[in-house]
Amino acid sequence: MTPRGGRRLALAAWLVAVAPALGGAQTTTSEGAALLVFPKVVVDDQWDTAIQLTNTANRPARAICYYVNGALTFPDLPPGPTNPPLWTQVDFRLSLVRQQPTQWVVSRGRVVDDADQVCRAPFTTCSGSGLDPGVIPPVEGGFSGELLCYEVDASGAPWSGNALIGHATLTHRATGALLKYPAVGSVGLPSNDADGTLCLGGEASEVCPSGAEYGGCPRSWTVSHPSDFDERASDGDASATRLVVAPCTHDFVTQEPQSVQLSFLATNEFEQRFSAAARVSCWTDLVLAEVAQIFDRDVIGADWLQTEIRAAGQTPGGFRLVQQTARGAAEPARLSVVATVPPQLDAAPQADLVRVPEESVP
Amino acid sequence: MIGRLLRAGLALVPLLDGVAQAGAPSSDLPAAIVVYPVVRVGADTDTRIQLSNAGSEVIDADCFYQLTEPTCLGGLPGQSCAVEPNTCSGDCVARQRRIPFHVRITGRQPLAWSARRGLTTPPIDGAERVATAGQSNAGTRVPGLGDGPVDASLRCVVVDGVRGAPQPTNALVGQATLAQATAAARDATLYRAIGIPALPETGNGDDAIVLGGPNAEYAACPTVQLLEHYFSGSGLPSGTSSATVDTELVLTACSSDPDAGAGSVVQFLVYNEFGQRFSTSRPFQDRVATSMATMDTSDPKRSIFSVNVNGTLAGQTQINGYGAGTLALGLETHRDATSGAVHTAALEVHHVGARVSEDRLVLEPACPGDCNRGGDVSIDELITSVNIAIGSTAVDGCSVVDRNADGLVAINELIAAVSASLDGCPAPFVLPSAVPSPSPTPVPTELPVSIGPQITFLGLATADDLPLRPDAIDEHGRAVFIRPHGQGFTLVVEARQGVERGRIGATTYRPDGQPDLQILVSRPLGDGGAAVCENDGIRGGVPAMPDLSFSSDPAVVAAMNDLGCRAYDRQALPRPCTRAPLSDDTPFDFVRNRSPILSEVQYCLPIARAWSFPAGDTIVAVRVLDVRGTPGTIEEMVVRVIPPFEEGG
Repeated sequence: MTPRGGRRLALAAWLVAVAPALGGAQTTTSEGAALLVFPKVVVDDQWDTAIQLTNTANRPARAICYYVNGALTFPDLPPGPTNPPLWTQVDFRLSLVRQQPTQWVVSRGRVVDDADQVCRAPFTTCSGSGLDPGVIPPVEGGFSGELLCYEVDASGAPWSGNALIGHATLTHRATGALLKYPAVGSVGLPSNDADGTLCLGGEASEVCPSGAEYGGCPRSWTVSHPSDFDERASDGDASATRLVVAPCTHDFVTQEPQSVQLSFLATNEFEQRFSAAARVSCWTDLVLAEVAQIFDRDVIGADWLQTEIRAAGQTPGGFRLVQQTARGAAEPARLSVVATVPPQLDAAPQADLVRVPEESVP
Repeated sequence: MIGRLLRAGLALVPLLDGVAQAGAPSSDLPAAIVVYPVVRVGADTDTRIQLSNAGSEVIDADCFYQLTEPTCLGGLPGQSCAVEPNTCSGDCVARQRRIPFHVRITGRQPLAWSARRGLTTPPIDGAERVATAGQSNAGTRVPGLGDGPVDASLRCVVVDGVRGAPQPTNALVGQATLAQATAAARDATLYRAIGIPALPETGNGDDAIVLGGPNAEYAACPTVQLLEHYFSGSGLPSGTSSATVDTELVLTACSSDPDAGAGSVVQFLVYNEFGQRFSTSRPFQDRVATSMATMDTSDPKRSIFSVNVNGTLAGQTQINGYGAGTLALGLETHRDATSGAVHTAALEVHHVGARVSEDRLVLEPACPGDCNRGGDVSIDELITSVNIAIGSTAVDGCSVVDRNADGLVAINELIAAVSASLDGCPAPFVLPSAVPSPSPTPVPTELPVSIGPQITFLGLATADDLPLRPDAIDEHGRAVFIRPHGQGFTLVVEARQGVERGRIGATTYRPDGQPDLQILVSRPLGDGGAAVCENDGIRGGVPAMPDLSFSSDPAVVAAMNDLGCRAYDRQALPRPCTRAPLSDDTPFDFVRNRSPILSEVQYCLPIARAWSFPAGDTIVAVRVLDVRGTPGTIEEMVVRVIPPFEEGG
């Protein structure tokens, strides 16, 4: 065998070896990941968000993070071409020692203060205790968007270390109501070429010569939720579900937002099916009742729905999802609100690309 | 040659190629088994169970609540361990009880019920209402748990609708909402059921479901679960004041097997924001639900899960069930300091590794003659059974009466059905359970003699720390690792003491002399710059030493330090960086972790883009000194980088 033939054979063997990982990988909320997204981060008059981020490896871990503000330019007006999302971004870097957890409140950020003390009673002013992971900028009010972090090596290049896990906790300022969900991770693969284009799923191409570098992004999700209703006029309850939809493709260089055409297929307990569609641009917090009337209990005729949400065929790439359901009466204390990341179905066949500025990569 | 093969991992236990094991417990995908760790019913509490079919075909599922109930052992007849009044003159011990039921879910149908009330009339009953292609929920009957108090877990397994045999159909999706409502306030907690996927073409269809292990039919339970939490007593911003946080941990065994052995021990490793580690352990049997702050002490302020002890707000706890797999869920409670209002949110765990040993979930055999699997045998079902016995009805009409599955219903099988009709179906199992781990098999091999420290492993690991198997051995007996890129992996060296028993040196970087770990490369890494530890070791490359000659020449020493300063901690690690993907004990371990080749130290050196290997073959030569400066034998390996699409020969 010629040396050239040997190399081809070896490369083929390597590709076969990693093939199962490439084919089966999607997003995860159960295992460590190299790219972590908190799809719903809110800082406004009603809500604040706390982030927990943990290095699960027995070695140091580093990450570069971006806040992306998907709030509308004119928040009180409906979205549209004249009212696009702000799509502004703020980046920062984190460094964690082995197995280190860290946390911060988004509206406050976190400073590096070597004089941080061990937390003492009454334990209400300890947010800086511990090893500071880096300078995390505070986020001003009017922020509704996401936080994306990707693991990097010591020189700042993308690193498939799969060391990161996270949770976001949203607290309602008036009532103290809690929303907590796990960050959505993309597993880094050995094929990561560490350049400025992060390839999530897909096949080898000119822009992704090594093929998938991270697990593919889901193209469809299945959401179990109650139907919407509002009986507060008769001293009853109201129930409403909303979904944060965050496209997986990001261009942090040009800052151009991605759009996704979504189809909704809702099945009620009687196996009756209803459909709807919506187009979302950038990052969107969708109120289901505003998407279509099919989510109304009076229309769908059932208390419970399973809704499959799918990116339409003409839309390349996938998206991430956080589900939020609120139920309660008019009094704030009798409001309960829950959130979760629903199960995903199939991954997008095409790669989602995350482009980061060249200065992030040596 | 043998020594090099051993060090490189060709002759010992298999290493992984960075490929994750197929399937793992997760809430991210539909699965064939779903586990709800917490189902609660009480005066102000109920649990809304959601169970959906994500597939398009109808599926059947056998489910059971598993309750822990105090039972009076050694007392007099009629005595009870009820909390008030406790009349037991013997010992009150916790016993497990199952409440089984069966559900049938049509394609893409969401099914939901209150744990308190159950589901007596399914949405599509098969009589008045039939769905697409004649599908229905016929046979679905979920018992209510009453007014409680009940604190249980729930498991559902996809089975075939005729015989009740487990089916490898990954279509179940589950959620539960714990709801608490008083006149003044309301709180709700939503969590996702933990899905355990079936592995393709491995199931034997019997009632003993094997999770993991050599005969796995379903994904293995995790080696370790990670709980990312705030320490008990932490103060967090909440509304207009602050809230005090507490976390309840619910642990339930992966196994549910009436024939298995004793309990197990669960170990907890707790890390705070300083990276400091604390540990504790406790006995475990079946299920536990308790505040983390009282797991290790009766005084929550002295708990290793408290902010008092840790001094930081956030923590990470690794949970490892020795002897039995576990599944965990956290419930995080925020109590407002001013109003006293309480809000709770679910805290779902992350998983690391897969258990080598199997866990078993044993389904209850169907009640003989209970054709609709409703939990009792009606007169209609007895008539059907008789009709099958006399041949006027096919056995498919009620296969559970055919207990030996021979296609016929014999007189003894009819008698069993009649007994079940008169006396009720057999009592649910009293449980479990722990499956002991198999002992690792010793490997009867040994390394050559070395005066100084002996290298026990020289190789690569993936960026996420999984040791790699060499791709080849070259004509010099060196392990060859083939990579598509020159960066994105970790160089791993392990060693043990040589025959002189000198303590192994720890340093990988020493500004004033030779480091203890010495690595030379035959070709330059990155830009090959000669500046030692340029920009604190995060930029710049490493020069080549083509003849790979270890000496005190300043250029050689500089090259050793230039590479060594990029190793984690710049010294031997206190705990291994490499992961053990299949283990019952720990998610991180030495690569050489079995007698007679046991590593004593490990060094890990990440290969970043700034000091990446060039395309082609680069020889890596390594030796280790002991603290007296005595070197061990030199070992070599080859890193062969073949970029994708490279056509050069």
